[in-house]
Amino acid sequence: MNNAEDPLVQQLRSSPRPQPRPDLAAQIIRQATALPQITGWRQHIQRALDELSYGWQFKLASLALCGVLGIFAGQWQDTTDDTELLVSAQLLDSALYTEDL
Amino acid sequence: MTDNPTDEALMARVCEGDQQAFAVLVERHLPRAYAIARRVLGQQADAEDAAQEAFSKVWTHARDWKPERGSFAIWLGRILVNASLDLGRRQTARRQLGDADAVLAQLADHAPDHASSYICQQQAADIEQALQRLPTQQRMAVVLCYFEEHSNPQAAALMGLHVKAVEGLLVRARKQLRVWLNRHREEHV
Repeated sequence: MNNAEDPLVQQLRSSPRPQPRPDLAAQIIRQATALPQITGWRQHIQRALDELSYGWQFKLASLALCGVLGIFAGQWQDTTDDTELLVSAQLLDSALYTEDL
Repeated sequence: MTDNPTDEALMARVCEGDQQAFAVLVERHLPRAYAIARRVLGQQADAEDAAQEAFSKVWTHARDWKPERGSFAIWLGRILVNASLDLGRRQTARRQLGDADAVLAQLADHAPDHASSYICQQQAADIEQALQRLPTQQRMAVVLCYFEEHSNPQAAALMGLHVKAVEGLLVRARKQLRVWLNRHREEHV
Protein backbone atom coordinates (compact mmCIF):
# COMPACT_ATOMS: atom_id res chain seq x y z
CA MET A 1 0.00 0.00 0.00
CA ASN A 2 1.17 3.52 -0.85
CA ASN A 3 4.31 2.35 -2.68
CA ALA A 4 5.81 0.99 0.53
CA GLU A 5 8.52 -0.86 -1.42
CA ASP A 6 9.66 2.29 -3.22
CA PRO A 7 13.13 3.29 -1.87
CA LEU A 8 12.12 6.95 -1.98
CA VAL A 9 9.05 6.28 0.17
CA GLN A 10 11.18 4.23 2.58
CA GLN A 11 13.65 7.11 2.76
CA LEU A 12 10.82 9.54 3.51
CA ARG A 13 9.41 7.28 6.21
CA SER A 14 12.76 6.86 7.91
CA SER A 15 13.24 10.58 8.46
CA PRO A 16 12.69 11.70 12.08
CA ARG A 17 9.29 12.96 13.15
CA PRO A 18 9.21 16.61 14.26
CA GLN A 19 8.27 16.94 17.92
CA PRO A 20 6.38 19.88 19.44
CA ARG A 21 8.14 21.84 22.15
CA PRO A 22 7.13 20.56 25.61
CA ASP A 23 5.11 23.61 26.64
CA LEU A 24 3.13 23.92 23.39
CA ALA A 25 0.20 21.80 24.62
CA ALA A 26 -0.20 23.95 27.73
CA GLN A 27 -0.06 27.12 25.65
CA ILE A 28 -2.69 25.81 23.22
CA ILE A 29 -4.99 24.72 26.04
CA ARG A 30 -4.64 28.09 27.82
CA GLN A 31 -5.30 30.16 24.69
CA ALA A 32 -8.11 27.98 23.31
CA THR A 33 -10.07 27.72 26.54
CA ALA A 34 -9.88 31.51 26.95
CA LEU A 35 -12.18 31.69 23.91
CA PRO A 36 -15.94 31.35 24.35
CA GLN A 37 -17.55 28.18 23.04
CA ILE A 38 -20.04 28.83 20.28
CA THR A 39 -23.47 27.50 21.22
CA GLY A 40 -27.13 27.87 20.23
CA TRP A 41 -28.00 31.02 18.26
CA ARG A 42 -24.39 32.17 18.26
CA GLN A 43 -23.51 28.95 16.42
CA HIS A 44 -26.07 29.76 13.70
CA ILE A 45 -24.89 33.37 13.39
CA GLN A 46 -21.26 32.25 13.29
CA ARG A 47 -22.03 29.71 10.58
CA ALA A 48 -23.94 32.31 8.54
CA LEU A 49 -21.02 34.73 8.87
CA ASP A 50 -18.58 32.00 7.85
CA GLU A 51 -20.72 31.24 4.80
CA LEU A 52 -20.96 34.91 3.94
CA SER A 53 -17.29 35.63 4.42
CA TYR A 54 -16.26 32.69 2.22
CA GLY A 55 -15.32 34.14 -1.17
CA TRP A 56 -16.76 37.56 -0.24
CA GLN A 57 -14.81 39.26 -3.03
CA PHE A 58 -16.66 37.19 -5.64
CA LYS A 59 -20.01 37.79 -3.98
CA LEU A 60 -19.39 41.54 -3.90
CA ALA A 61 -18.24 41.55 -7.52
CA SER A 62 -21.37 39.60 -8.56
CA LEU A 63 -23.59 42.10 -6.72
CA ALA A 64 -21.84 45.04 -8.39
CA LEU A 65 -22.18 43.39 -11.80
CA CYS A 66 -25.91 42.81 -11.21
CA GLY A 67 -26.29 46.48 -10.25
CA VAL A 68 -24.49 47.69 -13.36
CA LEU A 69 -26.54 45.36 -15.60
CA GLY A 70 -29.71 46.62 -13.89
CA ILE A 71 -28.78 50.24 -14.60
CA PHE A 72 -28.02 49.48 -18.24
CA ALA A 73 -31.25 47.51 -18.58
CA GLY A 74 -33.16 50.52 -17.19
CA GLN A 75 -31.42 52.87 -19.62
CA TRP A 76 -32.20 50.74 -22.64
CA GLN A 77 -35.83 50.10 -21.78
CA ASP A 78 -38.55 52.05 -23.69
CA THR A 79 -40.22 54.98 -21.97
CA THR A 80 -42.60 53.59 -19.39
CA ASP A 81 -46.26 53.58 -20.14
CA ASP A 82 -47.98 55.50 -17.31
CA THR A 83 -51.59 54.84 -18.40
CA GLU A 84 -52.17 52.49 -15.47
CA LEU A 85 -50.84 55.11 -13.07
CA LEU A 86 -53.21 57.73 -14.51
CA VAL A 87 -56.21 55.42 -14.26
CA SER A 88 -55.32 54.62 -10.65
CA ALA A 89 -55.03 58.31 -9.81
CA GLN A 90 -58.39 59.05 -11.42
CA LEU A 91 -60.04 56.19 -9.55
CA LEU A 92 -58.59 57.47 -6.28
CA ASP A 93 -59.78 60.98 -7.10
CA SER A 94 -63.27 59.79 -7.79
CA ALA A 95 -63.32 57.71 -4.64
CA LEU A 96 -62.23 60.64 -2.50
CA TYR A 97 -64.28 63.25 -4.45
CA THR A 98 -61.14 65.29 -5.06
CA GLU A 99 -61.23 65.33 -8.87
CA ASP A 100 -62.60 68.92 -9.04
CA LEU A 101 -60.14 70.35 -6.57
CA MET B 1 -14.55 7.79 34.89
CA THR B 2 -12.31 5.36 33.02
CA ASP B 3 -8.53 5.83 33.02
CA ASN B 4 -8.35 6.10 29.27
CA PRO B 5 -11.57 7.67 27.98
CA THR B 6 -12.28 7.55 24.28
CA ASP B 7 -12.12 10.65 22.10
CA GLU B 8 -15.89 10.49 21.75
CA ALA B 9 -16.42 10.49 25.54
CA LEU B 10 -13.98 13.38 25.92
CA MET B 11 -15.68 15.38 23.17
CA ALA B 12 -19.05 14.93 24.89
CA ARG B 13 -17.50 16.57 27.96
CA VAL B 14 -15.80 19.28 25.88
CA CYS B 15 -19.23 20.20 24.49
CA GLU B 16 -20.24 20.91 28.09
CA GLY B 17 -17.21 23.17 28.54
CA ASP B 18 -14.97 20.68 30.38
CA GLN B 19 -11.43 22.09 30.08
CA GLN B 20 -9.79 18.97 31.55
CA ALA B 21 -11.29 16.78 28.85
CA PHE B 22 -10.05 19.25 26.24
CA ALA B 23 -6.56 19.14 27.77
CA VAL B 24 -6.50 15.33 27.49
CA LEU B 25 -7.51 15.56 23.82
CA VAL B 26 -4.80 18.13 23.08
CA GLU B 27 -2.11 16.06 24.82
CA ARG B 28 -3.23 12.97 22.94
CA HIS B 29 -3.43 14.43 19.42
CA LEU B 30 -0.91 17.28 19.44
CA PRO B 31 2.22 15.27 18.49
CA ARG B 32 0.65 13.96 15.29
CA ALA B 33 -1.08 17.26 14.45
CA TYR B 34 2.14 19.19 14.99
CA ALA B 35 4.19 16.75 12.89
CA ILE B 36 1.77 17.10 9.95
CA ALA B 37 1.70 20.91 10.16
CA ARG B 38 5.48 21.14 10.65
CA ARG B 39 6.23 19.02 7.60
CA VAL B 40 3.70 20.81 5.42
CA LEU B 41 4.59 24.34 6.49
CA GLY B 42 8.31 23.87 7.05
CA GLN B 43 8.56 26.44 9.83
CA GLN B 44 8.16 25.72 13.52
CA ALA B 45 6.27 28.97 14.20
CA ASP B 46 3.81 28.35 11.36
CA ALA B 47 3.24 24.76 12.50
CA GLU B 48 2.50 25.99 16.03
CA ASP B 49 0.07 28.56 14.61
CA ALA B 50 -1.74 25.88 12.58
CA ALA B 51 -1.98 23.56 15.60
CA GLN B 52 -3.20 26.45 17.76
CA GLU B 53 -5.84 27.38 15.17
CA ALA B 54 -7.02 23.79 14.77
CA PHE B 55 -7.36 23.06 18.49
CA SER B 56 -8.97 26.44 19.15
CA LYS B 57 -11.60 25.54 16.58
CA VAL B 58 -12.12 22.18 18.26
CA TRP B 59 -12.85 24.06 21.51
CA THR B 60 -15.04 26.84 20.09
CA HIS B 61 -16.90 24.67 17.56
CA ALA B 62 -17.10 21.50 19.68
CA ARG B 63 -20.85 21.23 19.09
CA ASP B 64 -20.31 21.05 15.34
CA TRP B 65 -18.76 17.61 15.73
CA LYS B 66 -21.25 14.80 15.16
CA PRO B 67 -20.02 11.27 16.02
CA GLU B 68 -22.21 9.71 13.33
CA ARG B 69 -20.34 11.64 10.62
CA GLY B 70 -16.92 10.22 11.51
CA SER B 71 -14.35 9.84 14.26
CA PHE B 72 -12.89 12.76 16.18
CA ALA B 73 -9.46 12.09 14.66
CA ILE B 74 -10.88 12.51 11.14
CA TRP B 75 -12.70 15.73 12.14
CA LEU B 76 -9.56 17.15 13.74
CA GLY B 77 -7.54 16.03 10.70
CA ARG B 78 -9.83 17.98 8.35
CA ILE B 79 -9.62 21.11 10.48
CA LEU B 80 -5.85 20.81 10.68
CA VAL B 81 -5.41 20.15 6.95
CA ASN B 82 -7.54 23.21 6.12
CA ALA B 83 -5.67 25.39 8.62
CA SER B 84 -2.31 24.20 7.27
CA LEU B 85 -3.29 24.67 3.62
CA ASP B 86 -4.62 28.18 4.38
CA LEU B 87 -1.40 29.10 6.17
CA GLY B 88 0.60 27.47 3.36
CA ARG B 89 -1.12 29.65 0.75
CA ARG B 90 -0.49 32.76 2.81
CA GLN B 91 3.15 31.93 3.32
CA THR B 92 3.84 30.97 -0.32
CA ALA B 93 4.67 34.54 -1.25
CA ARG B 94 6.94 35.17 1.70
CA ARG B 95 8.39 31.71 2.11
CA GLN B 96 12.09 31.40 1.61
CA LEU B 97 13.87 28.13 1.77
CA GLY B 98 15.79 27.90 5.01
CA ASP B 99 19.42 27.00 4.68
CA ALA B 100 20.47 23.48 5.46
CA ASP B 101 22.28 24.51 8.62
CA ALA B 102 19.12 25.95 10.14
CA VAL B 103 17.19 22.80 9.31
CA LEU B 104 19.96 20.67 10.75
CA ALA B 105 20.01 22.70 13.95
CA GLN B 106 16.26 22.37 14.33
CA LEU B 107 16.29 18.65 13.67
CA ALA B 108 19.09 18.21 16.16
CA ASP B 109 17.08 20.12 18.78
CA HIS B 110 13.87 18.22 18.27
CA ALA B 111 14.93 14.69 17.53
CA PRO B 112 18.16 13.89 19.30
CA ASP B 113 17.32 10.18 19.57
CA HIS B 114 16.67 9.56 15.90
CA ALA B 115 19.12 11.85 14.17
CA SER B 116 22.17 10.77 16.12
CA SER B 117 24.61 10.72 13.23
CA TYR B 118 25.56 13.56 10.92
CA ILE B 119 24.67 11.52 7.83
CA CYS B 120 21.21 10.86 9.17
CA GLN B 121 20.76 14.54 9.90
CA GLN B 122 22.03 15.51 6.47
CA GLN B 123 19.61 13.10 4.78
CA ALA B 124 16.74 14.39 6.88
CA ALA B 125 17.66 17.96 6.00
CA ASP B 126 17.79 17.07 2.30
CA ILE B 127 14.34 15.51 2.48
CA GLU B 128 13.02 18.47 4.43
CA GLN B 129 14.35 20.91 1.85
CA ALA B 130 13.07 18.92 -1.12
CA LEU B 131 9.67 18.60 0.56
CA GLN B 132 9.42 22.34 1.05
CA ARG B 133 10.00 22.93 -2.66
CA LEU B 134 6.86 20.96 -3.58
CA PRO B 135 3.54 22.78 -4.12
CA THR B 136 1.43 22.84 -0.94
CA GLN B 137 -1.15 20.27 -2.08
CA GLN B 138 1.52 17.77 -3.19
CA ARG B 139 3.35 18.30 0.10
CA MET B 140 0.18 17.64 2.07
CA ALA B 141 -0.48 14.44 0.12
CA VAL B 142 3.09 13.20 0.72
CA VAL B 143 2.93 14.03 4.43
CA LEU B 144 -0.42 12.30 4.95
CA CYS B 145 0.31 9.20 2.84
CA TYR B 146 4.02 8.60 3.41
CA PHE B 147 4.93 10.20 6.71
CA GLU B 148 1.65 9.64 8.55
CA GLU B 149 0.87 6.45 6.62
CA HIS B 150 -2.75 7.23 5.84
CA SER B 151 -4.30 5.28 2.98
CA ASN B 152 -5.04 7.21 -0.20
CA PRO B 153 -8.81 7.28 0.47
CA GLN B 154 -8.19 8.54 4.02
CA ALA B 155 -5.88 11.29 2.74
CA ALA B 156 -8.44 12.18 0.06
CA ALA B 157 -11.16 12.48 2.70
CA LEU B 158 -8.94 14.72 4.85
CA MET B 159 -8.03 16.94 1.91
CA GLY B 160 -11.55 17.03 0.46
CA LEU B 161 -10.32 15.61 -2.85
CA HIS B 162 -11.11 12.60 -5.01
CA VAL B 163 -8.81 9.58 -4.50
CA LYS B 164 -7.63 9.85 -8.10
CA ALA B 165 -6.60 13.46 -7.50
CA VAL B 166 -4.54 12.42 -4.48
CA GLU B 167 -2.90 9.63 -6.48
CA GLY B 168 -2.02 12.18 -9.17
CA LEU B 169 -0.50 14.50 -6.55
CA LEU B 170 1.56 11.61 -5.15
CA VAL B 171 2.85 10.53 -8.57
CA ARG B 172 3.97 14.08 -9.43
CA ALA B 173 5.48 14.60 -5.97
CA ARG B 174 7.48 11.33 -6.10
CA LYS B 175 8.79 12.14 -9.55
CA GLN B 176 9.86 15.63 -8.49
CA LEU B 177 11.39 14.49 -5.18
CA ARG B 178 13.36 11.76 -6.94
CA VAL B 179 14.81 14.28 -9.40
CA TRP B 180 15.74 16.79 -6.69
CA LEU B 181 17.19 14.25 -4.25
CA ASN B 182 19.25 12.51 -6.97
CA ARG B 183 20.56 15.83 -8.26
CA HIS B 184 21.44 16.91 -4.73
CA ARG B 185 23.23 13.60 -4.10
CA GLU B 186 25.25 13.89 -7.30
CA GLU B 187 26.28 17.44 -6.47
CA HIS B 188 27.59 16.37 -3.07
CA VAL B 189 29.42 13.20 -4.11
